Parts: sequence; C-alpha cells; structure tokens
Amino acid sequence: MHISDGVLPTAVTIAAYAVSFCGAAWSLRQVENKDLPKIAVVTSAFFVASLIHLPFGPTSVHLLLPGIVGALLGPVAFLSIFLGLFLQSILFQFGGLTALGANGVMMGMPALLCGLLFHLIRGKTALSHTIAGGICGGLGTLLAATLLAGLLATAGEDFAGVAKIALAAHIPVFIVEAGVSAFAVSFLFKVKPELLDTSRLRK
Amino acid sequence: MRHRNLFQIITLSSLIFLGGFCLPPAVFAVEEHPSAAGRTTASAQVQESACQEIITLLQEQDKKTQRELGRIKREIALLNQQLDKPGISEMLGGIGYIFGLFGLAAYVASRKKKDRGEH
Repeated sequence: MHISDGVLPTAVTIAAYAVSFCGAAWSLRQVENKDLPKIAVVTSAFFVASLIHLPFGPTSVHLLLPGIVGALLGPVAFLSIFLGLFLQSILFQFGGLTALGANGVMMGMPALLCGLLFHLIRGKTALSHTIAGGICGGLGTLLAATLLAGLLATAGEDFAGVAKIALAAHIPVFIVEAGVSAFAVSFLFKVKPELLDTSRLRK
Repeated sequence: MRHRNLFQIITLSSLIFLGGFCLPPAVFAVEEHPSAAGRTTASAQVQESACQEIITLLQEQDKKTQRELGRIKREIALLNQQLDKPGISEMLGGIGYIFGLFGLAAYVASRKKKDRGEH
C-alpha cells in the first residue's frame, strides 16, 4: 500500500511533505538514547515487512505493521516509519520520493494513534496486552487504508469507491496484521515486557 | 467382279494411304486444341494449389511466430516484474542503513553524554 509518484496533486504532495517533516521532527525530539537499539530493530522490521508477500487468492498481500510499530515505539513511531519508507522508496522504488510525504502521513498517523491507543488499553495482564496488540495491529492497517482512500480522493478519485476497494483489498491484511501484532505483543510481554514501555512524551 | 474387287481394294488402300497422310494432322489438330487448353488449366491449377500451400504454410508460420512472440512478451513482463522486486542485497542494505544511522545517532548521543560528563 504505497501511493505512487505523480498520483496526487502538487498542493497535496507539498502539504503532506510538510506534515510528514513536522511529524518526523517532533518524533525525533521524543527519542531517548537508551531506546535507539529498539527503534533501529523496529524500523528494520517495518522496512522489511512489506517485502514478505503472502499469496492470497488472485492477488498477494503484505504486512504493513503500522499498528505494532506504534505500539512498540509510541511517539517515535513516526520517525521510524518515515525513515523506513524513505529507504523503501530509494532502494525498492516503492512509492517514490515525491510521494514520500503522503506515504509518511498515510502510515505514520495510524502508527501514532495506535501507539496512543495501545498505551491506553493495554492493561496489566498478558491477555489484555494480547488483545490490545491485536486491536492496534488491525486498526493501524484500517486507518492506513482509510487515509489512502482520503489522499486518493484529493486526486479526483471517487472517495467512496476507492475507500471500498482499499478496505476490501486489505481485509485479509487486517486479519493477518491483527494476529501478528497480538502474537508479537504477547511474546514480548512474556520475554521482555520493558520493551513495551514506550518513551514518555517530552515537550 | 474381279475388277470390281480390285477397284475396291485400290480405292480402299488409297483411302487408307491418303488417310494416313491426312488423318494424323487432323487427329493432331483435333487433339491439339483440347490438350493445349487442358495444359494451361492444369498448370493454372497447379500454380493455384502451390500458392494455397505457400499461403497456408505462411499462415502457419505466422501463427507460430505470433505464439512465440506472445510467449517472449510474457517472459519479458515476468522478468520486468522480477526486476522490480527488490532482492536480498537491497533488503540487507536497507537494514544496514537503518542500523548504521541509529548507530551513528547512538555514537553522537554517547559523545554528548561524555562531553556533558566531563564539563
């Protein structure tokens, strides 16, 4: 799920770049030194995840992971996703550089929201963590697909039609994503719960 | 009676003799016309059938090349698709970039900390 070069109108591209840069800069300020290795690993996972294609019917789907990135990194998620998308666009030709801002908004915003939501609903037990992880995983992809449709709507596409297609095409992704996120969070809760403590918001 | 017989024999033989002279050209003349016409129609038919054969051969060949071309086009499309797909080196390179960048950040952070500690 990447927006390609030249799809969006110039004004939207520039606005999305502005939002993305603000988000990344704000995110960068939230980085704590002790979190650097964790951020690096999660960023790498996000970077590689979109290459693992699972065949599904006539098409194939791949993981997007905004939900779990948000859950693991909290406010730093935006920076992580922006960096991952940047490297994807220059190394894999996913999306393209001019659409990077829009892609950053599309994936970064759901990640931030999911991070916040995970922080609010994760509770204390393993079960609540697992459920929260699953919800965040599914919701991240859902929000990303909705944002994709919204951004494409600015390019003159019929919003409802695109939204329906994007949501329908990503139904398997929601499910897989929710499962993967729930599993990852429950596993981390068991073996290294401190990884789930995201860095606190700094002004 | 005998004379008559003789006369008959002579006339018959002369007729035959004359016939020998006259008939063959006549027969040829009779035969030549239809044979010439037959030959031209036959050769035209031969030519036509040869043309048909060549046309069918060409058509078959055309079909074959079309099929081959289609196959090659599909292969090229497939190859293009595979070329678009990032390979393992790009994946590892990207991961390397990420770790490198964060390593650099960690290094800078540790330097800052050290500087702050010393001052």
